[in-house]
Amino acid sequence: IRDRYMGIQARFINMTHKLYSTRYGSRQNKILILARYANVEVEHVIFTKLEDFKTPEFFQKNPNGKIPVLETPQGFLFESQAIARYLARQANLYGHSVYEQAQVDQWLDWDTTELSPPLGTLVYDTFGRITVDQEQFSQAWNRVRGLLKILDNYLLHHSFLAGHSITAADIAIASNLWFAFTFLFDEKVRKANPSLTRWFQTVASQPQFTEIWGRVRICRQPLKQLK
Amino acid sequence: RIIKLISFFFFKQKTAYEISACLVGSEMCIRDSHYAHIEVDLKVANHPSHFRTEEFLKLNPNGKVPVLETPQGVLFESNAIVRYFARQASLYGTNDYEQSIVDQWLDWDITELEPPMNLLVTDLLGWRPINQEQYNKIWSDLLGSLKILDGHLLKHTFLSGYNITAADISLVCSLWLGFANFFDEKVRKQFPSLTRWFLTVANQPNVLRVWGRVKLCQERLKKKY
Repeated sequence: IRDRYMGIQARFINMTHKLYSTRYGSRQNKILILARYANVEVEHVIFTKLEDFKTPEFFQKNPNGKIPVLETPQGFLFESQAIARYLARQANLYGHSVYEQAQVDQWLDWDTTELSPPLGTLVYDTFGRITVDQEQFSQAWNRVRGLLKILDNYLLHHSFLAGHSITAADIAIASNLWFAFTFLFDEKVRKANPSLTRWFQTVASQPQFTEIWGRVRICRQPLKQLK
Repeated sequence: RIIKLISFFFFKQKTAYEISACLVGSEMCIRDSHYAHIEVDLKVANHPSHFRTEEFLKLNPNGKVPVLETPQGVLFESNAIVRYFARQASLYGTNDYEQSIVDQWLDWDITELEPPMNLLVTDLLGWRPINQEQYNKIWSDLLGSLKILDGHLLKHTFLSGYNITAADISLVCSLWLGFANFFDEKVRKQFPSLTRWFLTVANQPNVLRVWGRVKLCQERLKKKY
């Protein structure tokens, strides 16, 4: 009851946490989802222009001049995975043993170093945020296919990425894959990765997830690369 | 949450394999009651003749177990007891369709899964010996049922909806002795999704509290008398 009272108080005075980011994207959405699990009130401060987070004022918050940034009562946090871990601890989504905790870390880092670069190339190019040539695009696709297979092989034998229940690792990687599953991964890709599809469907259908991303939409016709 | 003191009868035979087929049904309910945070007072009956006494027949005219005594009255039929707990534990699906899927799998358990499983277990315990021909037929029936489950679980993490329900718990209990005694590495390789799902549900804290940690079968147990 005390926490709810504090939450309500915060709503009138100041939210306990502020998230600075653009409106829609896998990094900010995974943070908002984790905040729901953790019952942490987060005020979403939305930037619409790139210049908004290059101001001297913003550099005080994050010297890297990048988003997302979380403002906590204790101070500022940058790096989306660090923010994810911060909320995961409060939401008890960080595994139930030392080994499971390490597995969560493992998959979160894998998400940053292995999955995000080629997947980002595909998604941003498809949506016209960046432009890459045909060669780079198909290279990125090949890389992503290989990574999906790694996930699929693991998920054939495991219901979730770490331990026996949902963790921050599942939420982070499912968020990263949401655009791809909705716009890029057609029947062929889904058939080639049945366990991955099963897992994605389960994670993306959790109420905290659909509150932020909306309901799961299965891709029928993949979007083509913009010429 | 109201704490009910309920007495619960099951039959415990003291053999090398102390868990009987009846117990499997009973423990289902205990499992669900752990989720529902209801106090269950277990009463162990040591001999089947206990269920033929007049006193017991007043409780359950069928003379069988498991039987649940609630403040409102007595319940028999293990699936009815499971559903009774599932409603209180919110393990009955999140909408009408998911609820029906839970019912579907609970009924499928009785008609397709438990018959071969029970025959194998009672044969192993020496209560109802079967010959090689019957054994082969039962085994192939069972594998057919497992294949159906495996096919469903390739596409779905759980049996109904996107979270654990009473259907998952109930079927895992039916299969627990199978995975511990009959389904060796060779069999498990045929059903990877089934194995994945079984391990996930069997490792949930509430299930661990009742069954303990599962030791997957190394060598299929053959008949002994």
